[in-house]
Amino acid sequence: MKKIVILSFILLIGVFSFSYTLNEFNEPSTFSRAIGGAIYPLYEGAQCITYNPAGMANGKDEAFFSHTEHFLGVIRNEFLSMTFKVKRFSFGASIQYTYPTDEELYNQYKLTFGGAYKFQNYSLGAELNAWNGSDIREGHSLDIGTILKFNNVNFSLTAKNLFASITWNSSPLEVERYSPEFVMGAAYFGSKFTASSYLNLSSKEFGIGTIFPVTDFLQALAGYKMTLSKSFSKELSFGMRISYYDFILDLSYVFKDAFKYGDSISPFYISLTYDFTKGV
Amino acid sequence: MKRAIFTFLFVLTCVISFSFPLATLSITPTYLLPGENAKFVVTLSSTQDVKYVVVKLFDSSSTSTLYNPVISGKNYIWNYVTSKSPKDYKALAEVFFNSTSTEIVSNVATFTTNIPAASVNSTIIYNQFITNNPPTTEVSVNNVGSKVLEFTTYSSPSELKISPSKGEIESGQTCKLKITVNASLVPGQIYTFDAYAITNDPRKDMKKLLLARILEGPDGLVISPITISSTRASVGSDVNFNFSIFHSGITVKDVTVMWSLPQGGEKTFSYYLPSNSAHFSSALRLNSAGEYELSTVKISYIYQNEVKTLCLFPKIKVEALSSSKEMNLNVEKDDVIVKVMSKSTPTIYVEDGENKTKLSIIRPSPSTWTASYNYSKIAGPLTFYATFADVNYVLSKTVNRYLANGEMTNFSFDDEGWLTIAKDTFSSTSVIALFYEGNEENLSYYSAYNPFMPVSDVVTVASGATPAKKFIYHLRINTAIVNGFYDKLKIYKEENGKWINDGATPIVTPGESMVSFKENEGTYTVGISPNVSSSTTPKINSFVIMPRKAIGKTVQFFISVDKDCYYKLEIYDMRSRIVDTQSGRAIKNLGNLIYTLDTNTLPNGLYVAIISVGSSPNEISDKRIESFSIVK
Repeated sequence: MKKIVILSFILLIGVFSFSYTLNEFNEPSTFSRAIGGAIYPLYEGAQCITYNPAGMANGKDEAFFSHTEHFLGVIRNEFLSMTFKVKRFSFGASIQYTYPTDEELYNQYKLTFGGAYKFQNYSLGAELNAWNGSDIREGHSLDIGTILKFNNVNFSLTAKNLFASITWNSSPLEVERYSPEFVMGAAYFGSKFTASSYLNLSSKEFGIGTIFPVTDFLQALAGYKMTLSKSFSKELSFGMRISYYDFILDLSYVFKDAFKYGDSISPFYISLTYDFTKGV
Repeated sequence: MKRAIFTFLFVLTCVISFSFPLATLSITPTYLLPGENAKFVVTLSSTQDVKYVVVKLFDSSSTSTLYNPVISGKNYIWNYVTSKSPKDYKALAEVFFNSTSTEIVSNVATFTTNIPAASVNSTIIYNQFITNNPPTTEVSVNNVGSKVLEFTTYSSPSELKISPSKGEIESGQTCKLKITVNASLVPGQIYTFDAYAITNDPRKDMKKLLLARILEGPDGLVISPITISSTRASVGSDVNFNFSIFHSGITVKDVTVMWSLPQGGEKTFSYYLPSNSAHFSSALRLNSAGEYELSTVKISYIYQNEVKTLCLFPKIKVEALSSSKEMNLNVEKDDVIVKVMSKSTPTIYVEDGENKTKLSIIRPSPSTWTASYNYSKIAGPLTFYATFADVNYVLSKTVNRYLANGEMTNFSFDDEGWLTIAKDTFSSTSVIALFYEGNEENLSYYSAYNPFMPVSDVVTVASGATPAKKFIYHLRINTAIVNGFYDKLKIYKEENGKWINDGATPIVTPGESMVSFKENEGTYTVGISPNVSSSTTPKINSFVIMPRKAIGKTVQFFISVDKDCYYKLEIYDMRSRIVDTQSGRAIKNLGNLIYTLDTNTLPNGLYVAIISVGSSPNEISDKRIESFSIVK
């Protein structure tokens, strides 16, 4: 037991020692962006892949697609994911494609496979990520996440990009290793609204959001997100969720550093979720 | 026998010493200024039976006795305040005993206040900014003594000029020494110069005096090594040279590069480029055989409202060789046609920005070789090289591409024969365009320049009438260019090869695309100032990231703007985090290098750079967004 603890400790130190956090488009979900990125403690099914794998376990079969235009369309991201439930398990897979539109200089694919197990008030998920692209030979990482429900509050803890490394097509080939990221989240489910928040300790990102049901098929979403790297970047986001039978349409618009740049770098998201379970 | 004699003498000495104590008088310091304290110490070999000790002091005019010493063991000590007037003193001590009336007398000690004495306020001068006209430091040396002070000077290292270098100073007089740095200094380093005076001041530690310590540098200027494309080339070739000046806290006013020519005289390149960091690049045409030397780089800069000058003397030599080989360039709209005359096969390269490409050649005749290059539409030099297997030198020619009014303008020049245009010839927003006559036999390639965008033909009318009669000119204008700016049309007159804004009032008939005006005889055209299309707020003409895919260690960001402005560069990663920022001032119409990103500070992947400009640091009037990637 002692050996395992020491080994884990050494491994954790090793994992922490890489200076870079992974530079990837990690916000494919429209719903998440509308609530400031605070999707981590929520069971949102197929779109939870790449956030918190434990969130896949919402007991539904789903397909999810999103399209994002960032920096006035200079960067685009397409995302497709699906989840299937087998008893208490949910299995999911996704593919993500990121590319610039102003010059064909780079593109990147990300494939994710994972599963989640839900038991009463607790769920646990894990997934494997793999990268490829114009300049990427191969890359991989592991995400582990959990969500715990306590009364009307959900708590989440996610370890993302564990053992992350990407082999780049440089000459000679360069293997870049990345620090893992630890994300904490909490969501409160009130009678008239839901509030959710998250904090990524590693990449210094923080977000908070609210969900207001307006009617049975319409929800209003709002969020605020802050990132700190060389300088603060602030985002105010709004969105709406329209549910129609087995379809859910999410739209969001993020006012990113609006005081500086107006809406010219603000991302626009649109996503469509198809809920097999509901349809059947 | 010998041993017995030594033993006797030893015993005798001990007995005498015990019976008759020895007294030694010492005085410190031996040389001092009038009014200063002298310390007298009488040391006895034994204090047994000593009644008292006195010191008798003699100067040239009086004798005095010092009583009541402070006793410390076998030492009897007096502190004596010397007279205010300079004197030479002698002193001896007398020791009296209880048991006998015989006293013993010490040695005679001397000291004096009658000396030459230097007084210097040593100073430390710190010149952060190196200049070749360094300020002269003045240091005063006073003779506070009563005798003539003699001095000589020197410096360490020896590059200080001290004037006068030696001399004599009468009592009570002052001599002002001027100290100047007389060295070739290189920015980026700290230099320490010490100026010393060697005097005849006899006091302790006063023989060698530090007059001044002068610290120079490290300076806010850092100048990169000057790179030369070739140090051995044939006559008719261009030799490219470039260097960069990086600075902070100062404004570079102008930069001049001087080449010594083999036939005597100098070729001067002048740059008026106030910028936060600037890259300087030009081409020297080798017109005659012999040795060219890059002799001087002169940088004028403003620091704290003072204009200072820094001169560097690189002394880089280029050998120009006579040759039967020739290279000519024909610049076309999209291509440059390279023509090389040589009996041996040339290898032709082109250097376009950072890319060096070998061109395919064809041989239309036995001694003619041609190649074609489709050039990119960015500002900057385009240099063609031809090398040969049979001789060890290169032919080279350079085409400079200029951006005018934000668009590529296909001008074909090298820097040979630059026109000198007075700074106030045109309004600050004018674009100066140089036209190529294309006469390869004549080196005066440039016949005119144009501060405006011509929208009509040129018309010339001469009159023999006296007095001069005014004509009414009618010029057809290009409405596609003028559309929306009819009120901005101006009349330009050619005077001594220059187009001058005439000030005549143009009468515009838009429907007929005609401009009429009344003027004397001359050559006229109608033009529109390029600045009419720009607003009062700064705009970005171009934003270039080099390279867009960073495989190396750096990514450089360049902007061209239509007026002097402030800029801010922010680099976002794919997680929307600002991972790097840079801000500063950009200068109108130049490819300002605003930032060099060290890619080692960031992980690989896709990034977005947002450049914004404004009239003030916190204002944004225009912005551009470009993506780039890092793959180290």
